[in-house]
Amino acid sequence: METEAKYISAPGRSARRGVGCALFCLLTVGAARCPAQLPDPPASFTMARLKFGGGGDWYNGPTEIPNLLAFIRSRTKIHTAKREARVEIMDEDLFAYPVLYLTGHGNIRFTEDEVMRLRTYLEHGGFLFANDDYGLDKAFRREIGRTFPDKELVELPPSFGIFQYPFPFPDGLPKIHEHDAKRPQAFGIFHNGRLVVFYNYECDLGDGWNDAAVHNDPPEKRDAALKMGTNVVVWALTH
Amino acid sequence: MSGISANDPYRNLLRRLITLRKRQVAARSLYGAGLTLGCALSCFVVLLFLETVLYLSPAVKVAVEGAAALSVTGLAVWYCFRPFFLSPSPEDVALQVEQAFGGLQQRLISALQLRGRGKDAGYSTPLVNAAVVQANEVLAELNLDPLVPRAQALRTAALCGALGLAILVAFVILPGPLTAAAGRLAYPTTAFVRPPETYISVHPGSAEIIGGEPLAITATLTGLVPLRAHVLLREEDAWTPLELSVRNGRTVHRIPAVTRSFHYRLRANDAITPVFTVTAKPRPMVVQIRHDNRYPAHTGLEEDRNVDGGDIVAVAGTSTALHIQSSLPLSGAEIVFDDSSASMAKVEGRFASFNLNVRQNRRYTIALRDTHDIASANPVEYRIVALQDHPPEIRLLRPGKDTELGEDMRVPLFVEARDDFGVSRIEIRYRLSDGEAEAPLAFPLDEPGAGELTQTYVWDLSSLDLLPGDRVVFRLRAYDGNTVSGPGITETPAFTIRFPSLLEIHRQAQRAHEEGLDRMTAIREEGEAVRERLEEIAQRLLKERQMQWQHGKELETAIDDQANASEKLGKVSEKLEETLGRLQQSGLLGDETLQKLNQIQELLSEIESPRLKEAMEELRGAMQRVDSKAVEEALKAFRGEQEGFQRSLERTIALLRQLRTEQALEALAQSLEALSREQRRVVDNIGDPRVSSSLAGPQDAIARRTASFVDELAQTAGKMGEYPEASDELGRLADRFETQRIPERMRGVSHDLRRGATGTARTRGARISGDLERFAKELQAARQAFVNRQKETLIRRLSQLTHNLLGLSSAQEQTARKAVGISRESDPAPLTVEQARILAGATRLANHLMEAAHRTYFVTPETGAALGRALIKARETAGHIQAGAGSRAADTGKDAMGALNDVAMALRRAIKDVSASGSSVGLEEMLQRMQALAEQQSDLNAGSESALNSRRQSAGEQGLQMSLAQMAARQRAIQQAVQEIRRQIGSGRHALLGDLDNIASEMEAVIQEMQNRRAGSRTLERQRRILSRLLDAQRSIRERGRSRERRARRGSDLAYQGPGSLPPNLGEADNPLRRRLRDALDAGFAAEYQRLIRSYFESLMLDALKREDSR
Repeated sequence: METEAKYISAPGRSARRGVGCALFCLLTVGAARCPAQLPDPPASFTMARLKFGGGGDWYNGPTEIPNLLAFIRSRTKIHTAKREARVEIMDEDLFAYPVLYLTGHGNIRFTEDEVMRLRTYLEHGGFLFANDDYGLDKAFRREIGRTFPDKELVELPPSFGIFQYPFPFPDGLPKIHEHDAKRPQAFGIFHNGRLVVFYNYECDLGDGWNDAAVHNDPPEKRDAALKMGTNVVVWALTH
Repeated sequence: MSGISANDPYRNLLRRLITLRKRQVAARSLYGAGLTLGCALSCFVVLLFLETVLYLSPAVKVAVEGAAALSVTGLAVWYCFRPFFLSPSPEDVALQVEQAFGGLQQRLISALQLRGRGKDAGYSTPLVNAAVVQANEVLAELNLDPLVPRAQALRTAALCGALGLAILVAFVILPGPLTAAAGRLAYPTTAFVRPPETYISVHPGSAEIIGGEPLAITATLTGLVPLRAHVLLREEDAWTPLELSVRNGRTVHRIPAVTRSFHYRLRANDAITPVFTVTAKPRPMVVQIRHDNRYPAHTGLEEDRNVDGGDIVAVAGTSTALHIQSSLPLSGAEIVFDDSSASMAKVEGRFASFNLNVRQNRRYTIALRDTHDIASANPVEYRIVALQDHPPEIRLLRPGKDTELGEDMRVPLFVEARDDFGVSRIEIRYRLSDGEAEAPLAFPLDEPGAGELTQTYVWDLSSLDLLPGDRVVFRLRAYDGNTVSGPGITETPAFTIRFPSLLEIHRQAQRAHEEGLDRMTAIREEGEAVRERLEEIAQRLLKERQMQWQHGKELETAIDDQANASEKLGKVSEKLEETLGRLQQSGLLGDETLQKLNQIQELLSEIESPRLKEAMEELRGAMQRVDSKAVEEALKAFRGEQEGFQRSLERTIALLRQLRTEQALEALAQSLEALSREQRRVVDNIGDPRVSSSLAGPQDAIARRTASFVDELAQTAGKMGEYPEASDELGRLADRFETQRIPERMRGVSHDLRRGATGTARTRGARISGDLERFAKELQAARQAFVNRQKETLIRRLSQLTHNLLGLSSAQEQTARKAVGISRESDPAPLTVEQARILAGATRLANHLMEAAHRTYFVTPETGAALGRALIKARETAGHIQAGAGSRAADTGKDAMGALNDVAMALRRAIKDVSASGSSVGLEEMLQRMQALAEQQSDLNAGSESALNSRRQSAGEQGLQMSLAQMAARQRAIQQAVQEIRRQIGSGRHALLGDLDNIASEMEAVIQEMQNRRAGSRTLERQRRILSRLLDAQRSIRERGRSRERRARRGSDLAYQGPGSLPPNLGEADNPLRRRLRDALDAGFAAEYQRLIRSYFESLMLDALKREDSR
């Protein structure tokens, strides 16, 4: 299987370039790179925006996911895509996306088939990141209750790991948008001990990911929202 | 002279000249040749130098080499060949000689010219000859060598030699480049590539490698070796350069694991290799695992398919078929266990399958080998988790503690059992005394094999022939159906059932009642003291009009005392309830008496009304606020409630006292009947040789208990001074026991039995038994007479009350009618007097009603409330009459009349209830009928089960139809009987028996199923429910508080963890409603049904949430 070969280089330039090469080598001798590996395959993570029925604006905040992906790319080792994906529950490629993102205002309605498929997705490794962009709470609770009739949305305390890594949030979910001036709450649904749904209420992380010009959020708010979003994504991908 | 010939000299001369000329030509030609050669060598050297240094392009080479060749050729033609073609004539040669030698004086040229032109020019031949001879001679004497140019030729030859030598030396010194250059010059039209400075040797070059294996690309550098080299890698389009360090002319690039094919090349200095290809040949790997589990039969689990991976979690004994899909076609596969044992798989294409039995916890890996004999690497370790079949759990919920046997010799056992795969059977294991071996008794199960069951079984111990004082020790043992490692067994702790004597129970109950009454009396006195203090405080407050500190302290003390009294009363109530339970179980008292006790106990528990508590709290609050007015009002309310408390307590005490006598009589009657039965049993067994020898002991025991009974009878007679007739009857009976020496005679029988005189013993025993039976009847008659007397007295009083009430009502009606006509101008006095009489009469009636209420619980608080309303309205009427408000007086008078009528109606109902309590449709008889119906239902159930089972075993269908028709008719008869009972007991008390309507409707469904030939397992289930409810209906009166307990349990299931931390279950399926909803949704109903199911459960959950919030 092994072969050995000697080859002669292309002609010319050696005399002229010899000195230059020598100088170049001398200059760059201290800047050697680490032992090289085969480059990673071209893979990148993206969040899929969930398109849902019922009339709610699932398309709300088009800059949210790209900004979050860019933040994750710059602050972690996760290779992220530049664009969001969009998917409906009944789409064939639903299971190709490890994290779904649901946001919007107003009503959500899943069909019976969608309820069953979403449940299957979540029970088999999928993750739903739900963001109440205001006015979504009632409909979301109703539909997630249909999806998991035997489970309850439980409030995630600040001691829960999702608030610890990679960015610590010792006081739990940060308050990003005012909404009804209630305290921000993070809820989750667990399946076999694994968090499968993360729902932030009275917080609106998604709006904090938007371009600064969209809501004129102060930088610290946007930073907190992006960090918290990163925590959720990292948690989703590592659990 | 003329004779001399000149021809020879001439030829000599000419020959010499020609020779000279030849030598000159040769010399010149040699020179030319040398010149040409030198020139050629020079060109060669120049070209060689240029080629070596410059690597001339073919065009330049062709041009330069062409020019050189032309030059050399020209030189050769000019200098080598031209002398031959342009050689001088002899005259020219002769001229050269003469010129070279000056002393010849043109002799040579002259001789040649003369010889050539002598005859023609007229010269004489001799002269000419002489000239020739002379010339010849002269020439011969000359050395002509100087005229040959040899030196030039020699110089060029030397030059050529030098050049050649220089070239040779150069080739010796630089053979490679010069030879290569010469070679390249030899092919001027060929383009040659300049050799690099650096040479790269690569290992392994292009290669094939097994996916995942490491690879080291080694490059050896020669020539000019740089410090850095680069390896260029490419998987798809772009080359990725990676820098490498070169040490000792060697560099290595290592790839820990090659997972994909790629291309590479190396570059160092000016050298770059061509592209090599490393082809990664993938190892076979598992891409999918599925396992089909076939569980042991006893688990009742259906075969299932799991596609989640290779971890197998199944109950021990499960057969698992493992199906593996490989990424590549396989030549072999094996499963390797953690103990290094292995099992070969059946392989087909990319698929392999194993069969294994789950016995114990293990780990395994899968080793694959593809058709190229490449083995899989880094196998994933999977787990086999053998779930152990846990033994069942069993709990005896009722009695759940040591208990006593009742008169029916039955102990209801309420069992809760669960097992992970089903409880197959339960048995009762019991023994009569310590020494005996345990005997098993099957505990019937409705659903053998159910995972969770709660089952009731009434254990009939009558067949054990127990005597009072005997004990039965028992435990329950549950079995699961594990056929793999044998059934799992769990037992409850051992419990003891004691069979007490009725007299014993009676004495205990009497003691408890006495104590209860004493305590209640003490509480009443304490309450009376509180009442007086409250009254005093109220009067002082009224007088002083200002709340003092002292008042507050006294009020606080009064409230505390009242609370203390309430607490004590609660304990009395609990004690009474306990006694009641004991009496219920023993069968000492009839159901009628039990019902009365129940009612009293209810009254007792209701004495402390919520309003009293509220009033106390309100008073406390008012005192804290130091608000005199509020304190005054709260005190007023508290006093009212406290007085109500006292009244209720007094009534309860009175009722309990009355009942105590009744109860004592009944207990004595029951005890005597029991003694009579026991004596009869001894007598009946005297003839049996197997047991007659052992009857002396029981006979002694009966004698002892009879003696005790007589003492008790006498004591009871002494205590019944309040009821002289009953006391006399009991006293007389006690005297007869004394005079007839019953206990002594019994001991005589025992003596006879011991000495074997069975005949005498039987005769004497039979006589005693007859006496006992007679006495028992007399005692029962005395008891009944007492009850009847009490009842008649009560009915008389109530009837009198009713009569008076109706009279008052009539008078109130007339007054109201007359009041219409009065006005401010008319005289109201006559009507006022009339109304005052009515009011006084009503007040008297209220007192009488209170007295009556002390004798029966049938006079309800609502009756008293109605009379209170009547009094108020009557008072208002009087006021209106005095004010001359005729129409208003008429209205309130009518209201008063209506209230009085309500009281009368309530009293009539009370009379009816009192009458019915001892009538032919009394509670006791009704319960007996219910019991009979339950037995009929039990027989019917057995028949149904048998008939339906025989159908399953292919018995005749026609016979089954007939059976079903008959059974439907029997069920109809039972249904009608239940409805008749329902109708007879009326609406007032039917709740005591549970939901009879529901039983009837269940029966209707059974009848329909039988008539329509749709009877099946569902019908049997319905019939079991019917029987259970019939039994429940009888028990419901005995088992008070059961419904309350159930409500309490259900409530605790809905507990919720606060949001401060994650709930322990993470919100997963803790809510039983949610769990059941999931189960219902998974049952495979159509979508529309699922929606209905979902909305139903959601509404239930919402209700539960609201309740939780309100709590």
